[in-house]
Amino acid sequence: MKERFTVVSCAAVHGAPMADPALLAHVLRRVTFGPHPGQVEALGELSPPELVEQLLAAGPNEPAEPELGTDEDYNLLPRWWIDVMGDPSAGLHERMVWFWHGHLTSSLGKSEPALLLRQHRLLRTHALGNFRELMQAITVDAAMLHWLDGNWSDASAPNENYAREVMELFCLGHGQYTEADVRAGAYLFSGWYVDGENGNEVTFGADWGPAEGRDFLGSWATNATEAIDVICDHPACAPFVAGEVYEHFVGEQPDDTVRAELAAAFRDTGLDIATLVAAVLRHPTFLERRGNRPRSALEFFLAARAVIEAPIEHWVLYDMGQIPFEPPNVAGWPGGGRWVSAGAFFAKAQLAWDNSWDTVVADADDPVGVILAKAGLYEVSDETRAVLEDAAWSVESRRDRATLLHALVVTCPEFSLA
Amino acid sequence: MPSDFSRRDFLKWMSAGAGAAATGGAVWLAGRNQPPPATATAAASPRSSAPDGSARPGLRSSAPMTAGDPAGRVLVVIELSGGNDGLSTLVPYGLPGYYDLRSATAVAESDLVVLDDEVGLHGALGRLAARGVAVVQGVGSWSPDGSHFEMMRRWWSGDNDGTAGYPTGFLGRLADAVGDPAAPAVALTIGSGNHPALISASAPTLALPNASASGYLVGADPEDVMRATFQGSLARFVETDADGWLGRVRRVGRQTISFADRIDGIAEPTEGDELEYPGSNLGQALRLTAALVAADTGVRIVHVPMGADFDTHENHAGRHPTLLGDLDAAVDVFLGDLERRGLADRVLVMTTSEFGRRARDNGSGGLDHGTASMAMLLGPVNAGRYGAHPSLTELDGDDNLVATVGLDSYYATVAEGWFGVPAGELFASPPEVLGGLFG
Repeated sequence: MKERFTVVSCAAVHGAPMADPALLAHVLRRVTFGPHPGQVEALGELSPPELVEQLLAAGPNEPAEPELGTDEDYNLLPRWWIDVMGDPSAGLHERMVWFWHGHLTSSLGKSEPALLLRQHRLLRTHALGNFRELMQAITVDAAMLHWLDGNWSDASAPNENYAREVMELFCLGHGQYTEADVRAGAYLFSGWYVDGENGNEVTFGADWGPAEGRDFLGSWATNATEAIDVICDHPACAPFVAGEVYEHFVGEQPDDTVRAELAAAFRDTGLDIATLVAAVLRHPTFLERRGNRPRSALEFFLAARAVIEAPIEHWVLYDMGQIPFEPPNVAGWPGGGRWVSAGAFFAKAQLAWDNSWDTVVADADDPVGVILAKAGLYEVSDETRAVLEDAAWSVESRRDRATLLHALVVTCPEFSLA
Repeated sequence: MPSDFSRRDFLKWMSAGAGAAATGGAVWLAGRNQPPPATATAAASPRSSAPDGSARPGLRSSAPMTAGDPAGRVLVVIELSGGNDGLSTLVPYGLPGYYDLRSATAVAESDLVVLDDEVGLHGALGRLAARGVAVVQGVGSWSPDGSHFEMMRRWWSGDNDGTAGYPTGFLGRLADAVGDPAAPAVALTIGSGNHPALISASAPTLALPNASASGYLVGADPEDVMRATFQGSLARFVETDADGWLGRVRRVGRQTISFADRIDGIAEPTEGDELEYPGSNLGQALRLTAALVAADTGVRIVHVPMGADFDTHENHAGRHPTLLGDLDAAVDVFLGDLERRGLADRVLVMTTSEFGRRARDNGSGGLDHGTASMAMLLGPVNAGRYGAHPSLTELDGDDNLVATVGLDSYYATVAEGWFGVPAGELFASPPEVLGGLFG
């Protein structure tokens, strides 16, 4: 059984001063939902590649599931997972569950909390497992059958939604299939339904499933399982998925050479996700590309809540546009510049001002240095440092100073970058 | 654009645009060598009464609302995300083939606001039909794609066939053309995240889900040292330019603070607002839009993603009327609000959607991704049918409708007709414009 990710175990080994706290913070920002206050310091002089290895070696968190069954489920479920992701011990596995939720997304808008939780369990199981097994499982997952309309799809006039998106968004990318492939796929994926009479068990009804085979992506398939195999064996699959995983951690799509390297490692292990992720995180570009994307709303929220140390309610994530289990559309949450918006700035200022109450830094000789380290910011612009210094000494009381510094450190421009 | 832009200038723009501008009546400016369709009726000669002589709403024959000074005009773009089915919105109940294609999702004539012997607006749009709608038929791409994201990308950038490679969004380019460069925001999307449609070369464009938080950024009482220091620090954080993402965060921060200063306090509902606007995302977004227009914030273009799911692969007949009903209720209140505020002649509403849906319904009682759809314009525009209705009997090889009006033509028509911006300023290859909608 693998150990959970904890920085305490690292610190026990490495007690000396840190070599490069900014780089360690970068690794934790990208691979976990941290850094949480004190984590970087606790790593001692661990090198960034050593930290990457520790994160790769750590086992999954296994949080107790929420007890569903009331009207509150629609709020309880996202709030539960937000707290799980916000736990300081949440590591690479939790991050990959979040990645897959955005990639193979489904929504409370078209299913129900118990089925989203069932899908979530599936993603936890396969998050660092085998991609083909993940795709076979998600294809007949109840919430996915609801979300992409596979539920009750009849071979005589099949629903095309899943067939298109499984190729375009999940596995191959746009342009790798024809409209005829969409139609053939729709036929092959038909016949499945969520049996509401029987605990919402996913069931195959041979009477309205595919009765014969179809040419599909240049191969022959006779059912959903074979169709997923054809997709996973398609030459575009490994490079496409490798690019999506790379972008999640590195902040941009890989160049052709890197993509080919990653795809080869992924394909050679029969689409082993852990192998792909390790290849991404060990690639030199992972440590080089810093601050090259904004934090998403959820990343910002969890980091800010950790710094402010207040029980900030998750409602602000509605205004910021990123509530787990409620993606905006079938492609999950778009990334990049979307998160640097006027609306996000409003929401961040509101969150910071309404929730900052603390006195921890007030006694320090260098309160600005302390608050920046608490926020995991070891490299900030002169402007940001100067503004924090001026603010710190513009108020008399220690309590006011601490409040202001907490509110300001999470609204400074650098805190908005991943 | 000069502020003394006159009607004469406007007509000049119109005639410069395509060489055959319509100054009265509806003229189909043949795009792609299509013949003028027999159905291209217009406000000048609408079938506005039923055979029995009773008045019919929808194609209003009364004089159109006079459009306001172009310099003060505002465009509100409502995006029906997911792909709105044109055939269930403007229902071709009288055209051959409709009831053959739609075994599960056809709308009965009795559920329509009949416009003429061919088409009717869905009854769920009754209030808008009564106000008068300009419907542009057959809007789409000459080389359609079945992907939401490819087609959204084309609509957002104004790229008909997907080959133009615009680095900016269509609304962003339009903002560049019409905006006051000193305004804190020329175009705004009502939402939490920046929108690709609003990417501009120079005009400031912003994304905002609501205006209620402006008081966190601006307006602190100087006596309140904590709050004043907080707000002053936020402004100083972002005042200097920088490279890369840091620079971008600071630039957006500056724009946001400047815009917050302009809108501080406007979110307070005027009397009665809260009672009238629907509680839906669209209703609340339009409530904010009306307040922004009234506050004269310099915003000329407001993009409103409807925040609903038009992607009706299943149970279309159950879901679609609800979506249209929300649109009908929200836009009706919005137009009424504008009238009450004396702003109705300054605001044009247009709809967009990435594609229409498949001509035939599927076995889930739904409609898979399609191609051409229809679009609606409301406000100071001549109600009527524009463009040719797509054939229901001659489909393309994928069982889809064939577009008759390019999405870029639709955009160009609005850009020229409403803002006087010639298509050549907005498109690499200027599309044809439709005549007769304005003036």
